[in-house]
Order: sequence, then C-alpha cells, then structure tokens
Amino acid sequence: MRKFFRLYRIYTIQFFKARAEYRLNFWLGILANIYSYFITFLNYWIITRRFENIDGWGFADMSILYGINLFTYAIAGTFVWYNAFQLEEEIISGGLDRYLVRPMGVIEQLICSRFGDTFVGQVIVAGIFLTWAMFKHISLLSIGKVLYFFLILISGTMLQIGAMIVVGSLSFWLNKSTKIGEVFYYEIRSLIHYPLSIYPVWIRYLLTYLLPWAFINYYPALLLLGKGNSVIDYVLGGLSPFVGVGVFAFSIVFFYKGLQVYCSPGN
Amino acid sequence: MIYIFKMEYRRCLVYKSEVLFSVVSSAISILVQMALWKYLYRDNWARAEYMTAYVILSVILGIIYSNTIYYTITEKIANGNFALELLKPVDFLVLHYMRSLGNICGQISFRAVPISILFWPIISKNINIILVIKALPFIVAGHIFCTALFMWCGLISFVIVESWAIRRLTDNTISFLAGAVIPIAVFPDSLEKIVRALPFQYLYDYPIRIILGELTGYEIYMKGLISIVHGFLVMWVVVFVTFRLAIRNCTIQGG
Repeated sequence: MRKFFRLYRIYTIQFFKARAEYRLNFWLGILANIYSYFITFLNYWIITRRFENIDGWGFADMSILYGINLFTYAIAGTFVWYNAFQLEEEIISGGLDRYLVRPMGVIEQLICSRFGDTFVGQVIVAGIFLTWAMFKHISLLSIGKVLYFFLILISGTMLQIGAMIVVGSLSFWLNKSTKIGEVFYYEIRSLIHYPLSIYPVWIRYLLTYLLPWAFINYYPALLLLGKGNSVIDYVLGGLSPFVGVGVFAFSIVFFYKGLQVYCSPGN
Repeated sequence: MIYIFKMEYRRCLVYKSEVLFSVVSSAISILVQMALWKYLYRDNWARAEYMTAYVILSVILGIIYSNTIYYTITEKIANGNFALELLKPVDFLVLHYMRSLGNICGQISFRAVPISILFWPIISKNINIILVIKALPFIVAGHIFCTALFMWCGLISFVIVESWAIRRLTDNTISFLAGAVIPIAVFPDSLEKIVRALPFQYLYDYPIRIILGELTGYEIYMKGLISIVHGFLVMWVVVFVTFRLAIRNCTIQGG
C-alpha cells in the first residue's frame, strides 16, 4: 500500500507538471466547476428561502446533505472518474492491454494514469459549504459526531469509488457502459440530492437495499443532525461506513471478475 | 447541406441502446424534479401541476437549445481538421450548423417526442396547441441565440485549447438565469429584478409561461420577442467577427 501511494504521488507530480503547460485551462476548469456547483447550492438557497425548508431540512441541512454527496463524489472522481469509470474507452481501443503486462495491479495503474484535477473545484465548493453548515450546527455536534462525520466522508468516498469501478467494469461484458452508468449512477443518485422523505416509500427501499446511494449522505445526515424518525434510521446511519467499505470491496472483486472474461480487441 | 443534415439525423439512431438510455435518463431527471415540486406545492395542487408541466417543457426546450455545435467545432479545431473544412466549397459555420441541426432534430425525434408521449397525460392538461404556436417564435429565436452562443464558445478553442470550461460556465449561467431549473418567479425579489433585466429569461421562462397560458398580452409578447431577436443578432455579429479574426490569425502548419 505504501509503495502504491509513493508511486501515486510521483505520477500526480508528473501530471501537474504536464498540466502546468496549459495553466489557463487548468484554472478555468477549476473555476468552471466551482461556479457550476455554487449555482446548485444557490438553487437550494432559493428554494429554502421561498419555502422555508424541504420537509424540515433548511439550507444548512441541505448543504450538509448535498455537500457530503458532492465532496465524496469529487474525491472519488479525482481517483477513478477519468480511468476506471470510463474503462470502455480503454477496452474499445485496446489500451487496457498495456496495463496487463506491467508489474502492478490494473486498478492501481488506472488510478495512477490520470489525476482528476477538474474535481478540485468541486472539492473546494463542497468543503466551503460543508464547513459553514457544520459550524451552523455546532451545538448539535459532539466529539463522537465529528469523528463520525470524517468517517462517513471516507466511507462515502469508498462507496462512490466502488460505484464508479462497477460501472466501468460493466464494459468487460457490455463494451459500452457509460450510458448505463449515467442512468443507474448519476440519475438515480440524483434522488439523494433531496431528503428521501419527500419521495414515495419504494424510492427509499430502492436507494437502501438495491442501489445503496442513500448510505452516501442521507442516513449519515439523519444521524449527524438527529433527524431520524425511527431507530432503523439511526441503525442504517451507523451501518453507513460498513456499507461504503462493502461496496468498495465488491467493486474490486467485480472488476477482477470482469478482467477474467476480458478479450482484447488488439491495438 | 441537406445531406449533411440527413446524415447527422440518422447518426442519432446508430446506437439504439444509447437512444433508449437517453430517454430513460431524461425521464428520471424529470421524475426527481416532479417529486420535489409536488412536495413543495403539496397544499396547492394546481401549482404543483403547473410546476410539473414546467419541468417537462424545460427538459424538452433543453434538447432544442442543445450545445452540440460546440463539440463539433471544438473537435475540428483541436485536431486541426478545420483547415480541411475551410477548403470545402461550403461555409464552415453553415456546415457545422447543419450538422448540429441534424443532431438536434434527431434528439427531438428520438428523445423529446418519447418524453412528450411518456408524460402526455400530465402536459396535455396544461397546454393547448394555439399557445405552443404562439411560443414558437421565442423557441426558434432561442435556438438561434443558443447556437450562436455555443458556436462562439467553440471558436474560443482557437485561443484556449480546452474550452469546455467556457462552455460549462455558459451552460450553467443560461440554465440558472433562464429559469430552466427553477422558475424565475420563485427567485427572491432582488435577484428576480436582476434576472428579469437580462435576455436569458426569453429562452426558458418566457416561452414556457406562454405555453402554460400564464403570459398573455400583446405588448409583453412583442417586447420579449424584440429582445430575444436583438440578442441573437448581436450574438451572430460576435460570432462572425470572432470567426474572421480566428481565421486571419491562425497559422496552419500542415501535416
């Protein structure tokens, strides 16, 4: 593991040296993402200002809910969005073959192949709103909850990384998996941008037991903000870190299962 | 030109599963927004239905105001093939517009129409054909305005190698200021005053409110139409000037 992180650091430094050749593009990319997601938070502010809250969730609560989702997505994206999530491009072009002959795990090589610099903007804007919202709710926080908060950021990131790897791995069987990923990962995950209590019950079951996106932010936020309506909400909140680790572990197994059936198109 | 249009139109149907997933993707995003507005207006059912129709029409207009032309132009500039297109006996901008138009018509046929059919029970309650025809000039003018705007974003690739950030900034600004996600009427008063002074409201907010019968009055209608036409004329002048400057100053090294 230490060897991987040392190599990842070297690859990232080289990547930034290359990006420094196009400094304007680099900074514009970060600015575009900061602006784009700032607009999203602004939309929440407009709605909560007009309607006071969304089922008891004010702007600060919505900032925590959406902020956790965005922050974990952005961190996950820096590692795997450009490579593992878009694995179909490597498979179709035959570029995956070069990873198979090197003395390093394929997933590790995919992670090292590109640093998702464009997600830095999202990390910044999510971090700002999360920090502000947590300070707004400082009276609710204890040492345990603060530690839990950092734990769910890590587990949420692992869940998002796992989801991206699973979507990319589908390319081993389907060749093109990005569109499927758009539906099952992006569109269905957009349901967790709002409190699940505004949807019909079956949506909650879908996002809890079938596609566990609710464990990224909703159940952890219920526990952090004390908004749970029943014991099961708090239990699921407590289980969120384990679900994140579980999804990540499953994604690694799923990826290597896909690799076993991989048939190179040549290049 | 018509053959280029036909080619791009047919290309939309090459990957049928992509067409299916695009429709499903749009349907899910509509359902998420519908759920939100139905909850927020749970005490006012008429308003909830209005907002539901608003969301569906917004998605359909988003397909018409597509930024496809940005991608076609940027790709050609990035790989240098625009030089070959300058040699062709057709205007570069017209060529790309026809490609983009073919793609947009394809998206309308294979995405907007299925979405309309899927959500017909909802939108049919709130719209009638006369109002749709009344809103058509705004929609056409809006399409021309957006085409010019994204064409300009694509031409920026002559200066900035990766101009996706400019396109993204433009996209998000239009979506927010035009009322594509949240109607401008929901904005706080101070913000609404600023947004109403800008021309972006004529892209989404105005035509949707016309279609839903909220905006009546000849003077308001003509004022809006003149504003959007003025907007797209200014934008096209900017595009032509940018294109001429780009062609004059670019150096083609061959290869």
